[in-house]
Order: sequence, then structure tokens, then C-alpha cells
Amino acid sequence: MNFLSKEPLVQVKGLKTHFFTEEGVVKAVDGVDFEINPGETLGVVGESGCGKSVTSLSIMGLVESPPGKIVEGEINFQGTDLTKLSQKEMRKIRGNDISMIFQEPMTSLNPVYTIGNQISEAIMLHKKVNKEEAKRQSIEMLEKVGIPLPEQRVNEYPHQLSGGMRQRVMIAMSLSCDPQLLIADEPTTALDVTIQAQILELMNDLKESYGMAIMMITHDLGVIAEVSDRVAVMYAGKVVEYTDVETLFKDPEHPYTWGLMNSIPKLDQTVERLEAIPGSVPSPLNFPSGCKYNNRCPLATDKCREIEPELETISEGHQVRCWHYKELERLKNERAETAKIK
Amino acid sequence: MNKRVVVLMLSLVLVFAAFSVAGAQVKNPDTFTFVTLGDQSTLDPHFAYDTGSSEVIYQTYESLIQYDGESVNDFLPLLSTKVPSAENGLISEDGTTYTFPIRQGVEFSNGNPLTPEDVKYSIIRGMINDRSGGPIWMLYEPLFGMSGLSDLTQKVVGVKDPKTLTAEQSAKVYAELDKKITIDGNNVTFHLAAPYPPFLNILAKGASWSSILDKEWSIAQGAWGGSPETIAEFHDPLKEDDPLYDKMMGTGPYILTEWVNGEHVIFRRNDNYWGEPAPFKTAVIKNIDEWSTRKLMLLRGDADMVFVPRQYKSQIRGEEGVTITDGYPELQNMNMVFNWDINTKGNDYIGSGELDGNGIPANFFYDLDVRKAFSYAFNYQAYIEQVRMGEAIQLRGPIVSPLLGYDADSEVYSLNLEKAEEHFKKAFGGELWEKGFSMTLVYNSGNDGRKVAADMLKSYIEQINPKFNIDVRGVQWSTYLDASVKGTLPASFGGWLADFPDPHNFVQPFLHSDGYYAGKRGQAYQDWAEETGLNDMIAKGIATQDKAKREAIYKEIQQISIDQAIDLWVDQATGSNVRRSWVTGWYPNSMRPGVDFYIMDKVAE
Amino acid sequence: MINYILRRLLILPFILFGVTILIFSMIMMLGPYQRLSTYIEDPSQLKGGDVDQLITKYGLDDPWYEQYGRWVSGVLQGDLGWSESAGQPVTEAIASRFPATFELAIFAVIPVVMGGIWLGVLSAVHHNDKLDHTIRIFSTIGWSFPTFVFGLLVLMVFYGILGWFPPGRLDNWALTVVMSDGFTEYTGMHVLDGILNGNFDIVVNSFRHLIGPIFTLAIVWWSFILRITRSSMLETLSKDYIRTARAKGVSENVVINKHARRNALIPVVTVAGPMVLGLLGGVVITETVFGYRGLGQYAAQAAAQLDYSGILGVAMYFSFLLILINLLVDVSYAVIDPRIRLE
Repeated sequence: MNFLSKEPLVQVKGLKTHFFTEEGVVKAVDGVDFEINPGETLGVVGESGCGKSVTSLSIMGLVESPPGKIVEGEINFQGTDLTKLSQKEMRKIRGNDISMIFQEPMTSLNPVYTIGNQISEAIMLHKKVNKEEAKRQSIEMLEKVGIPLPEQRVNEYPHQLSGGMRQRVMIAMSLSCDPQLLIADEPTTALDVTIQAQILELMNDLKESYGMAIMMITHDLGVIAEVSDRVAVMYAGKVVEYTDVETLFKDPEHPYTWGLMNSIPKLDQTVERLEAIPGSVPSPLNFPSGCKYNNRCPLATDKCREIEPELETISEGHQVRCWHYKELERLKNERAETAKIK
Repeated sequence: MNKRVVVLMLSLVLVFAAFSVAGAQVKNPDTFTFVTLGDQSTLDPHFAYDTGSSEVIYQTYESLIQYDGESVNDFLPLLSTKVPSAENGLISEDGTTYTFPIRQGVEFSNGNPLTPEDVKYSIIRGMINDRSGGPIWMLYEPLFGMSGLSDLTQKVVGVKDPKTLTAEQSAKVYAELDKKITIDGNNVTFHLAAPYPPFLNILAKGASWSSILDKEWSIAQGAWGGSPETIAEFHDPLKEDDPLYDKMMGTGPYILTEWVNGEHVIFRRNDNYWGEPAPFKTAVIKNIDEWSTRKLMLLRGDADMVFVPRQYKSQIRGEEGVTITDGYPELQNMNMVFNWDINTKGNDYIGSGELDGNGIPANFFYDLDVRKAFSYAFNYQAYIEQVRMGEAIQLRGPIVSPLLGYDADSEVYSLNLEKAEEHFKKAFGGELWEKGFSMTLVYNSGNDGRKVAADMLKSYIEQINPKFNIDVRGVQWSTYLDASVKGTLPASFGGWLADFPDPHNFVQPFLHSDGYYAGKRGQAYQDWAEETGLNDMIAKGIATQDKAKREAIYKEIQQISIDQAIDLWVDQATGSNVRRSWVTGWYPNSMRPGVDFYIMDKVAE
Repeated sequence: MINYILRRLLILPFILFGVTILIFSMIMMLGPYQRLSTYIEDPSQLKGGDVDQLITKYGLDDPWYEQYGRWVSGVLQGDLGWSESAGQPVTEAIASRFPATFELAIFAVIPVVMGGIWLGVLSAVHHNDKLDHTIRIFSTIGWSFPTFVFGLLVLMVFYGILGWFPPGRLDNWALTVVMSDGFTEYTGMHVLDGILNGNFDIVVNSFRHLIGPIFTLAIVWWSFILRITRSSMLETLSKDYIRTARAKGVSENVVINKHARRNALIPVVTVAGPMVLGLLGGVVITETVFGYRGLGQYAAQAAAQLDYSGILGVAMYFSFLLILINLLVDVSYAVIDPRIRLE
């Protein structure tokens, strides 16, 4: 736990993870840069297929290889470049320094072993304790994540628990070894709205007490708003906007982010129709040249179709990948006018 | 591959190499292993009527006399000290009594001494047992001129089923049996109903039913106790209820160690044998149905002798260490039996059942021209080449070579389509030729020889007249048997392996009205055989003592069977024997049911 | 679970009854002369006597319910009747061949099932690389070989040429030892008996005779298990909980052998069940080629010869096995997968 240090916990620089398939090269992650500071929650948002999951798997070293491969970039974790580590070394980190939880709590636990067995497994793997001690700690963890009667539950099987409970178990399992970073890939997407809120609250509480950083991956802007400190917006394998959460919602500078914002209802605005972004995410086998967003962007020009923009710092702590972000202000004002008239 | 694996594999190879045997030195010199197919039915000499069983009985039981080497006409003494003949007076002048002096000092393998009582008991017990479908008719024919116990009980007390005899009736019947075999000191005398030239053959070793049992032991096992009143109880038991079904007690050179039906029969040397000790400590008959497996066992020397189906002999001819003897005559024949009087009821094989071109009438084969036409439409030589690999001679009637009455120069049919056509045109006054016919020839599936014969007839006959139509059909054995018993088969296949080496054993079943095959030809044939005097000739043949006269009679009978084309006479196959070259002493004898563990030895080459 | 097992076992008599009635009625559809053929292998055996006499003697003409009734009452007293094709009482015919079949089945299960699973896992883990392709090629070859051809091949090479694996169950000298008074046949399974009698030579000799048939069965059947295991493993390895295990830092070995394998076994058990049933029921072709006297050969022989008591006896044995094995399979599911609880 490193509250005082100003050094980022994780630094991802120019990460490129490509998949070499029979149909061609899929550039799932094609230049991703961000940082996660200790104790901070980074939200990573984007539509499905934008590369956010692959980014997290790259950090964990869980990209299926073949056909996938980290072709370029650095992932610096506490001074070590994870891309240079062997599988054996990565295994020491997984579940220990960096943990990950996934979207499907219903299927993420092994059905033939007890919950206690699966949590203890993680504990015994990374800490030098015996079975009884590991079990005791497992029960403790279950309690911490708010599961009633943990001494009973520890001997039960996953199918005996509800979805929400299982996700709590996953959280318990991932935190059992006191990680510095928890990567959560769509942890609440498969859950009911009410349970969703509980889980998010739980995660926040635990983040406080454990002092850990969270990388929250989701497509749900509501979740982003609730838990993130900073946000990275991803599109077509790249980060297109990177800033703190308030700025993102109040003042998005990338046309895509702005498009996303317009597509969700907001309490303080009345609109007749929600705006969907026209077109669809391009196939990773067939990216357009230039800026990947050009075929759906209202600000697109020839330059956009030819040259890909770089990630540019436009103000402190705010980066955008767009040639025409300044034009966006004009578009925003127009919109605001129309909204006010109505 | 890493070194450890290589080392492990090499050592495995070495270990296994130790198991292999090299060289042509005699393998298992103390044991003789004969591997064949099939199985054994029973160990009871009075029940056994198949070669599998008889082969086993042959090793441990003995009879009064035995064949002399390869001969089937000359005898040597065995449990009797002399072979009865007219010359030594042990056969009476009228040919109805045979006297056998019983050897002294012979013991059964349990130590009981052989006595004349044992001899008498054995024969009488057999005649009481007389199981249906069994061999004991061969004792009844010479001794009584009848075919079985039921004939005797019918005659003596008017009872058809011996199982229903009362104690009193039984005693009366027993009295008749008792008269037939008398004991005088050391001699046992048989009293025949009439002269019966092949009588000695019936008592020679190889004829299982002539085996001599130990009376005391047999009774102890639950066989007939010797009492005159109990015939009903011991007559015609079920095979499995027969007390001597799976036990043996003989005087022979081997003793049964273990019998596992269909798997093996194991014998051990009888160290107490009254004659020369047997050459092998252990002798084994193994049943392995798969030819390739038998072949490998022979080549590896794990088998000293194996049964080789004819068509596979070429596979081992010329192999090192293997000796083949073949081409010697076996007393067996094969023919196609014409049904002169077909049962038309529910009959699938005769088409419309009428002479209308769409079927055949019940009396189709009653017509001599039809029978002759068929006989000319068969390619005997081709059949022998194809099915017997050339190892057979064409049949000249029911009597086989070299029995009395067999004439190698007699007239026979050969393939002649013109003559066949001639006879077809004459048949049924010309009607058959005009209308044509349609019938089915049936064989039991799996029997390729019969299939070839049927196919051959079909192809030749259909060539002669397009209106002639023959279907060839293979059916399950059970269906074939059913049809055969019901008399619905227009033609069936017959084959006979001699019970004893005498022409009578062939002409009777094939030609006599009461014979087995007469039944397959229907009532019409049976009447014909009676009317034309054939029955009388057969009866005369067996009753005539003079050899020359007998020969003349049988030659005539043989010729009639050809001239009248009573059946389609196909062939007489020759025998063969395949063994390892280290086996010495083997010789053929067609009256021997199978292997003989006593006459051979194993000597390094 | 005990209740479940008991309930399943209670159905057994009904199944046996049903099966035997069915077979019996099929046999009864044949006429008495046809059924007589069991007792007569060659028409020349009829030479001495009267066919109808034989029919009466064997009761082939009695009404079917009488014949069935006779058979059933015998069964209830523990007597399955006389097997004409075996020349022994049916109970003896089956009991004497059972140890051989059982011994072969037990020994064959090890390479077939264990080997198949091991190679299936290996194949799945290395899927689409050289090891996988090699394994799959061999497995296809093995599977495409008819047992008959392969068995003869094994016999020709390993016995004919090398003399390592002879046919039959024992050599003559070993047979003599086993039959002698100094040797007790506790089970009829020669390898086990050899161990129990402390006679190493017998163990070696009987094992030598087993290798040929086991090898033949293994080559053909192992691929069967392998393919199921492989596809099941591949499917399991793509499951989310495997990803979770890896995310915990679990080593790949443990992921495969602990997390994946147990889950992958369910379809394998489903398939292995009938296969073991087949092995225990007797493998007629392998038995014939190797001269190995087991239940397969007996069943085929009884059927071919219309030996109806033999057929019924074998059918009962087989039905019993079927129920037992299905029960074992179901119980295995429950043991492997806690989501399946037997009511």
C-alpha cells in the first residue's frame, strides 16, 4: 500500500496486442496509454470490441498465445515491465499483486469444487500457510464481502449460491492475497440492477480498507460515473480520450465521447430522442485508414480519413486523440441552444 | 527421445526375446498337442456318434479287437487275445457265433481287473441305453436283425416305448438280450440273428460303441445296475442326464485329466497300461476355431498337428518343418439326394407345384429322365477341382473306394449337355421341355461346397432351355433341417462317413426303403425300392458270407444306383494330415475317428 | 443415494423378465424342427432314429407357456437349464467363462480408459500442434482397423514371428500346474490366482497370454475414449472458470489436471460406461482370434446354434450387467459433479 508515493502503480505505454488469425491480423489493442495511481479507480469505457478486455488480459498476461501476442509496448508495474516476464514469474503476480474478476459470476467458479477450496487455493498459492489457516482466512474473506453464515457457505458449491453471491465470492477470492490492483472486467453487467449497486458499493468499501487501485472496465457510463476517479475512453483498440471523471461528463472533447454522452438519458436535460451514433464499430480486420472513427464522426474531414491523430494533451490531465476537437465546442453550443429552445 | 526411454525399451525387447523360441529342435518333447476345430459332445461310448466325441473315447477306451495299421479289413487282437475267424474256428461255420477269449491281466485305470463280465455288461448296457439318434442300432442289426430296442420290446412284449416297460416286461426283454452274449470261462460269445459279414468291424477299436466299460465303476456312477427289471429307467436318457456323460474309465494307454468342452481335452499317460506305455506324458486336443491362429501355432511348434481346411492347405505347403500327407481315401461321400415325392404343403421351393412352367410337381424327380438329365448337367471334374482342390474322386454310386463292390471302371455320368437335353426332352412325355419349370435348390449357408454344386446345376441347366429356371438359396441350418425333416426340399445334400467299412453301411442308408436317405426321397421311392427288389438285394448282400458272391451283389447294386440315377452321385473326398516334421509314426486309417496319440512319437529332425 | 441405488436395483427382475419373454417368444416363432437343430449339428446324426422321437424327448412340441414355465421354474431354483451348445449347464457355462472375460475386461480397461483419458488430455492441451496431430492420426488408424484384422496382425507379428504372446489363456505346462492339487483356483482369473497362490510363473504366463487380446482391444477402443476426452477437454478449457483459475496464478499443470479434467470427465464417463459393458459382455472377435474362451464366444455360439437356454442365460447376464453399469455411471456422475444429486 503506497498512499504517499506519487509514482503510478501501473503505466501502460503504447501497448499493442495483435491476434494472428487465418483471416488476417486482428489489431485488438493498437496503441493504448494510461496510468493507474495507487488507490485510484481508473474506468475504462468503450463499446464491445474496442479492446478494453484485451487490454486487461494483456496486463495479466492471460492473452491466448497463439494466436494473440503483445507486439509492442510496455506495462510497467511497480517498476517492472510485465511484458518481459516469463509465465512463471507472471503467476507469482496474478492473484497476488494484481487480481482480476470477470463478467460472468455464474460460470466463473469451478462447479465441482467447494467455494472454500477455491478461495483457499489462491491463499495457499501465494502465502505460506497450511490448509486449516487458509480455510480460516477464506471464511474471514467471505465475511468481509458480506456473505452471511460464512462458516457454512465455505463448504458449499457454487451452484448453491445466487449470481450476486457468487460475484461476492469472486471478489473475496481476488482480494484474499491483498493485491495492489484489482482489475474488474464488467463485474456487474450480468447482475440485477439492485445487486449491481450493492456490488459496486462493496468494491468501493474494500478499495478504501485495502487501499488498492481498481481498473474498472465497462460499457456502462453510469458505472463509470459512480466509481471512477479517472477515465480512459477506448475506440477501435486505442485510447481516444483520457481525463478525470468530472471533466469527461461535463466537457468531453472527443466526438466519440460526446456521442456516447448524448446516447444516455440525463436528468438535467430534456430531449425528444436519444441520439444513437450512426454507423457501427468497424471490423478489426478492416479498419478504415486514418482516424478509426472517421466513418461515424460529424467532424470528419479528408485529413481524418488519411492521417491518424496522436493522443494530444489539451490541458492538464486531459488527453484527446482528434484533429478537430476544437470544432466540438461549436457543435456542443449548437446542441445546447436547441435543447434550451425546447 | 530421452535416454531413459531408450534404455527401457531395449531392456523390454531383451526380456521378451528371452520368451521366444528358436530352432527346429523338438518343442515340448513330452507333450503332444493336436489343434482342431469343433468340440466334443459326450464321453459316453454308447451315446457318442460324432467324431469329436469318438476321438476322445478312442484314447482311453479299448475294444475287443483293433485294425491292423492302415488296413480297414484286417484286424489284430486287443482286449481279446485272438481275432475270431473261420480258420481258427472262433467264428462258427454258419457265421452266427463269434467267440472272443478275453485277455488276462488287464486293468482299468482304477485298478479293477478286466473280466468277461465287463464285456457282456458293456454291450448290454449299450443296448439298453440305445439313445435316439445314437449308434446302438449297429449292435441291434447283427444281433437281432432289428434297428433298436423299441423293435425288440415291440416284438417281445408288444410295447413300443421302452420307457414304459413294467418290471415284468423289462425282465422278459432282458432275457432276450441276455441270450445274445454268453460267457464260458474266459470266453465271451456273441450270437447273431443271421450271418453278418461286417460284424468284426462293428467291434473294432474306432467304433466307440464297442468300447469295454468297467461294470463296477459304471454302476457306481449311476449307469444301469445290471438288473433285468430296470430297462425303462435307463433307456434313452437326455445327454446331460447320462451318468457317463463326462466321465471315463477305460483300459487304454491314456487317462482323461480334464475336459473343457469346446476348449481342450487333456490326457495323461496311463502308467499302469497293460501294453507298451504311451509315448507322451501328456496329450492334448485343443479346440481353436480360427484357422489363422491354428496355423501360427503349427508354425511356432506349439501345435504338433492341426486340422487344415482343404482350401487353406496351400498356405502351409512347403513351409519348413511341416509335413503333409494327403490323397489317401476316406470312407466318405457326398451326393445330392433327389426328392422323388416332394411334400407340397406350404412348400416355398417348388413354385406353383405344377408342371406349368412356373414350378415343379411333387413327382418331378420321380421321372427317370429328369434324374438322368440332371446327372448329365453336372460338371464333376470342375467340382472336384474347385471345391476339393482336386483331392477327390468322382462317386460311382453310394459305395466308396476301396470297399467291396466298388469298381473303378464302372460306368458313370459326366458333363454332357447334349445328353442332358435329350433326356429333358423325353421327360414327362415331352411336356417338360415345352412348358419349362421353376424350382429352388437349397443349401445351408456356410456350406460353400453345396452352394457351388447348386450354382453349377443352375448355370448348366438354364443354358439348355431358357424356360428352365433354378434359384439357388442359402438358408440357416435350422431352416434347412426343418425343411429336410418335412420333406419339402426338392433336392437335398447328403454325405456319409462310414460307421464301419462295409458296403452295407453305404447301400442301406442310401438305397434301402428303411434307410435314412430313402426318407428324403419320399414314399414313392420307398415303394419303388421294394417293388423293384432293391431292398431284397440289399438284404441278401448283408446276409451272404461268401466274399465273391457279396462282391457281385454289391457291384450290381452300385450299377443300379447309376443306371437309375437314384441320386446325383458327386464325389469321394480324400483325406489329408498336416503335422510337424518331428512327428513320426503317423499313418492313415479311415476308421479312426481322429488323432491317435498312441502310435506317434516326436523325434528331432 | 442408497435409496436411489436400491430403487434402481429393484427394477432388475422386471427387466430380466421382459427380456427373457421377448427372446423366448422370438425363439418360439421357429417350428419344432428348426429348434431341434440345436441338438443336431449334422443330418447324419439323425441316421439312427426318428425325428419325432427327438422332438418329444426334448419337449419341443409343448405349448410355449409350458416350455417357458419350465425354464422359469428352473431359474427360480437357480438352474438356468442345459446349454446344448456348451455341453454344460448354463450356469456353469457362464460361470466358467466369466473369470476369463472379467480378467480381460479389467486389464483392458486400464490402457483403454486411463490411456485414452491421458492421451485425450494431452491431445487437447497441445491441440493442433504436432503432438496432437500425431496422436490423432494413430487414433484414427486404430479406430479404422476392424478388430479381426488387427487381432490377426498382432497374432502374426507378436506370436507368429516373435513368439511373445501366444493364443489361449495358458501354456500347456501352466495349465497342468493350475489344474493340479497344489494350486487353488480362487477366482478363475489366472493372474490373480497366481498371485494368491504365490506362483509367479503362472502370473507371468497368464499375463503373457493376456497381452495380445488387451493390445488388440486397446488399439481399437482407446481412440474412442481419446476423442471424447479431447473434445470434452477442449470445451472445458474454454470455460470461464479456467480463466479464473489462471487469473489466480494457478500453474498450467494444476489448471489442466485439477480444474479442467474433472469437469471434462462427465461425457467420458457416459461413453465409457457402454464400452465397459461391451468388454464385460464378452468380445467375440478378439476371443475367437486368440482362442480365448470367454463369454463373447459363448454368446455367439449359443445364438448361432439356437441354444435357447444358453441364449436366455446370456441375455439375463447381460441385462444384469447393463443395469449395474448404468447405475455405476449414474453414481459416478454424482461423485464427479456435485451439481448432480441423486434423489
